[in-house]
Amino acid sequence: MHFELSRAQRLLADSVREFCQREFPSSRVRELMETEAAMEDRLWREFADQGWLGLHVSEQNDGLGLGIVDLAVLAEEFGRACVPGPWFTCTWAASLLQQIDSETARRLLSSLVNGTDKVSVAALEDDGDWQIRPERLASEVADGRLTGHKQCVHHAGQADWLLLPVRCSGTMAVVVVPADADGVQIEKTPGIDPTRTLYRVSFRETPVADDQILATGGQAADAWDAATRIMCVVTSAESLGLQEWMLAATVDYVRTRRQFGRTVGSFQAVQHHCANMLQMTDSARAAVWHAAWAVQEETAQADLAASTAAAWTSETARRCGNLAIQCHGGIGFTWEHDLHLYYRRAKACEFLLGDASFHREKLGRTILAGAD
Amino acid sequence: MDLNLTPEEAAWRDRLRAWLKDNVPEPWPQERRTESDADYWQFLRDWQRRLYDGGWAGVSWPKEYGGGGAGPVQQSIFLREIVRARAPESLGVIGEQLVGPTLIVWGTPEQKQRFLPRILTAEHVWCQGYSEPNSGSDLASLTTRAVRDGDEFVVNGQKIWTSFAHIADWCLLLVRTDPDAPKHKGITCLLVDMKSEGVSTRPLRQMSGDAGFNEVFFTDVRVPAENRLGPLNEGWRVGLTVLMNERANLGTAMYVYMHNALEQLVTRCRQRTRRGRRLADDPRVQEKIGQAWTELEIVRLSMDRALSRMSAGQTPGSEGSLLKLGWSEANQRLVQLSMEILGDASQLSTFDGGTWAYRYLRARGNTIEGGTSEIQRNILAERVLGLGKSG
Repeated sequence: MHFELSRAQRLLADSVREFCQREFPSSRVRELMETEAAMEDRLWREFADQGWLGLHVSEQNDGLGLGIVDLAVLAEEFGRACVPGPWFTCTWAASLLQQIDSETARRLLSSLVNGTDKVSVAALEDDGDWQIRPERLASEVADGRLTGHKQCVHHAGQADWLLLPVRCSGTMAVVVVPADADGVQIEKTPGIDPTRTLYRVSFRETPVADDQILATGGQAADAWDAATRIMCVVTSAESLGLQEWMLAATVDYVRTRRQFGRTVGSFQAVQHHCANMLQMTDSARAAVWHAAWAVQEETAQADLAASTAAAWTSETARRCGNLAIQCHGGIGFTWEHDLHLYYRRAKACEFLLGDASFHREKLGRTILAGAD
Repeated sequence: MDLNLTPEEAAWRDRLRAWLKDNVPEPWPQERRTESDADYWQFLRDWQRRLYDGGWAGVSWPKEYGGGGAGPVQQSIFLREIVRARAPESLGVIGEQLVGPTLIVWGTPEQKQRFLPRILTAEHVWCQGYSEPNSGSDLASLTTRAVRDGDEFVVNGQKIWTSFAHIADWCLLLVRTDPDAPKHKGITCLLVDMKSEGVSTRPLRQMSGDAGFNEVFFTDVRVPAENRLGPLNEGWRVGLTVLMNERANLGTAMYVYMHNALEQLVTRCRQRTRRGRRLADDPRVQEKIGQAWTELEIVRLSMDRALSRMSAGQTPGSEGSLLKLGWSEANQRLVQLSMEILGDASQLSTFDGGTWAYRYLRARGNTIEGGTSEIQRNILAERVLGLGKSG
């Protein structure tokens, strides 16, 4: 048993961190988040050149062919730097497309990985239920036409393609639609986290040709579940990176800030907040690495491991954020300080793919389902 | 990253699994495992002896001391297989996990020969004489005195919260040997025969109703000088070795305990009904079970990660404090969730032999014993985060 990163993975972490320190200082993140795209073409090009748009995509599909643990390393560093833009949703699309055996999916995946096209996943419907099941999906393709709504879609406004689960002939299907197709309406709905722009997407009699229906039935459901597992790891790893930054920023601050003639970090009340942040971050790392490994190796526990990581990091990231702001005092509550960027992002990560309550219920259902 | 077992580890696990299949006593008193039940302690001694005879005692101890010579990973496998086989817990919590490893570091060859094998066979059950009525978190202020008299130390004083003292054969005792030195520099560690004249124990009744820990009184107790463990006046360092092991290792016993509790809880949820449906079908219950399961997984994974670091040769430093902070609070949340789910009946002594009420009350001790959570947080803040006491 080896519960540590490999040397290559540590090098990957270092090089991503260096890149982010150079290209995404918080001043740059703040500039980017003021724009809807929250990303510039030059940087996206760099992402593609580095292979970060297809790190875990097989080499036949132009990816780097690395594993989910490597992907988690990348996501953690992106979280640490609060990297803005559509990387999450495009990685989600890549994870989903990779599961699907169709020529259209392969072409799309290739153009996504090389940075030509952006693909946003439009999953969540108005009921806000992350358990995507055909009988509950309101979006439907019938007679070659798609009608329905999706909310909280990342960067739909800049996407070339939209990838979405729909109901089709009573089963689930994954379909792809050009973002500028007839009947597609994309409306910006700003969320709590300005580093990733959210949109509401409506489809009204949008034409869907047969080759746009990438998978149906059990194949669609399996592909969806597999991609969901991967993205639970990614969002958990991002949350871990956010926590790491918040812990480091807080410890730095309380070591230098002086009150009552001494550093505030010398007060036990403050020390204990910091110790709690450390403990939460350490346990989150165990959960994230385990989930990444289990999903990568497709172990029997992969589903449980992914939900455990999502449930745990949702809580720990938020609570670390609460304590970080508290330890900073007034400055931590200002727009000027970067903490709120991380705090906002942590809240958004908490919702993504289901919050802690959602994942706990799912875990509980699975565990209680066994026969006695 | 590879959380799979190596072929050697897997083979080792399979051997253990086969052995457990043939040797786990059936039935054994799983319900209501109070700490004061004499039959229960004898039962555990017998079980420990059986483990020893089978070659499964002290798996991570060096072979020369009768152990299995295996690494921390096997230690973890051992633990999980014990759970899987629904085997009894190990009696060696103090002897095998705390005293033994400390003897291995600090003991003379004679001390190792004399004591280590007897820990593994459960011939000697150990307790640790640490806390005193006026020395709890500030352990180094302890005042139990030992004065050298010829070839012996003469010990006078009182210890408290001493788990297992009422059944223990030996005590690893911290005493003050130099009252004029700074408090950390005047402490010595002694190995004391609990049958010595002048040793008396008085069980303390805990809030859970048990009398598992004790007050221990030492009145002119004569301890042979050869039973000093480590150098004179360096007992604090010896004592810290025990504490490091305690924090790192007690989580493994707790994991077994929590795992069994959750398993029992899941079974009850499948059997009991409320509002016309099984508890297991109630989404509120499902969420709580999911939370309990998550807590347990986090304990397991944090432990595994620490083990992995230890087997890579990194010494267990502050990990122990991280783990202890984690498992103690996780167990408290688990017992709370359990009673929420099971409802009023779970408080009754007639329901599962009163185990839920017992666990609930017992869990309050978790964040106090072995160094309070506040002490663990102090350690983390000072040693890991570099936040000093002054400045």
